[in-house]
Amino acid sequence: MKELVWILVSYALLAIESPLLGHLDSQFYAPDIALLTALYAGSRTPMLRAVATAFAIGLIKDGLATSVPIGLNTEIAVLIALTAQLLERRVDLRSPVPLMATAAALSLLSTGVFLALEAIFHRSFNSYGDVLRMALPLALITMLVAPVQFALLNRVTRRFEARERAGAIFLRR
Amino acid sequence: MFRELLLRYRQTLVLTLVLALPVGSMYWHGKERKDTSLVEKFLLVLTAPGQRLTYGVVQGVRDMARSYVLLVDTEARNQELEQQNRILLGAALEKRTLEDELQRVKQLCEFKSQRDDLQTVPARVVGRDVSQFFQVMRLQLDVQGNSAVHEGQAVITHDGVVGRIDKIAGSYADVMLVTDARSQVHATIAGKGVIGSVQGHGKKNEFTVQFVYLDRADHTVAVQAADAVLTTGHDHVFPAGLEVGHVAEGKALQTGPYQEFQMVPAVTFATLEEVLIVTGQGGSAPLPAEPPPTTKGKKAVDPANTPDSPP
Repeated sequence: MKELVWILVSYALLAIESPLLGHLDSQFYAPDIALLTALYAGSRTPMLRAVATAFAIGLIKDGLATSVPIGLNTEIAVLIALTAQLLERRVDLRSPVPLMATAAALSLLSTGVFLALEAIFHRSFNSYGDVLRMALPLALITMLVAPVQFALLNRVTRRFEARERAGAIFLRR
Repeated sequence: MFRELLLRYRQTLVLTLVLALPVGSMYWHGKERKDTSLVEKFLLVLTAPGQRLTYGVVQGVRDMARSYVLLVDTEARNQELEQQNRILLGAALEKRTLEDELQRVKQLCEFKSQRDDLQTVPARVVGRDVSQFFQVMRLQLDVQGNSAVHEGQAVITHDGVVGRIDKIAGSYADVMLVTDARSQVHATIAGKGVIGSVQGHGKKNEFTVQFVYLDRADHTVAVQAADAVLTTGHDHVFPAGLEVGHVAEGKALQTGPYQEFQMVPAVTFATLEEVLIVTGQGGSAPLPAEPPPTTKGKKAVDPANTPDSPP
């Protein structure tokens, strides 16, 4: 059930992100929330649960950004979760510095996958230059936000698990 | 036996499924389609309420923060009149908000009465694009489940063309803006007797559109910066005589039989709050008698130079 909480938190973050950054006139500095959630799920849960969580959050992102073919963000999120599973034993994703480096690298990787999938499936797409220009700033802002989002998800998980242990009903099943 | 096989290969099956489903979806949704798919409808219904809620909350917080700053400032200047100022400032702020809203609605009503050949329904903007790369800006409208609203209908304001309805799900509708790379609008440069097509770039914050035209009736009349670009109505989507934007620079991006000019849209999408959806057009759609809203040096509409007129 904690995966459901992660999805809800990420949904809230994604929904807040757009109007908030819009009002602050910083639309182009939006961190990749879905990527970080997929990375978190991939590093904290078994494979099937991780990919299911990533699938759900990718689908939500597809719903929020319908200017790309539906499934593109889902595919990227699942691939990120799988990559996180591979990295889990090699990289210490609980420490800030390795986490930030991993987040930045995966953000660049996801931009590459984004471009590849757009080229294959989205005929009318022609903003390759813009996407490439945005790749590095996006990776940097995602890198900076990674420890904050991981801390938030950790906190939410701890609270949820504590309540579950205490026998309280956190979410109605 | 089957159950055992399922259990044994569960991981492989699930992984194949979660990787293949999005690929299938991308293939399906990547094609040019006019109708909204079931998945798109589901996702719109799933995400629109959240977006609407957060949009409202953020606006509320912003308004509160602004009020707070104003009050702190007032307190610093005059402690004794704090309470009075607070009431007055609140009232003024409320009045200004109401005035702004009234002004916008009045402009829309005036436009509606001027263009009585058009059947329109009003709609409120409830969400904007959240795409990472801002490849295509989009707007989300609350159409209150109006049955007259359909995909492909034109979305306009008193300032000009906004775009067209792309997808509808329940009470919400997605708008494809004129700046979208998929958008094409049949248009004419006012007073220049040329017709062409306005095509979006889909670029992030440039909001540019291109005007490509084939036939120039009068080769001696040069296209200049700030020339107004109006719809012709030939695409059967946008009514004739609406301003799409104006030419940004007189210098063509591409010369030859197809000339291209960079344009600036007539509508500022970032500040849109209310729009009109054109649900029908009755009779002939006239060009406005008055010149269109002008920017610096913008030309007036000359009905004699519309594309249908002889050169």
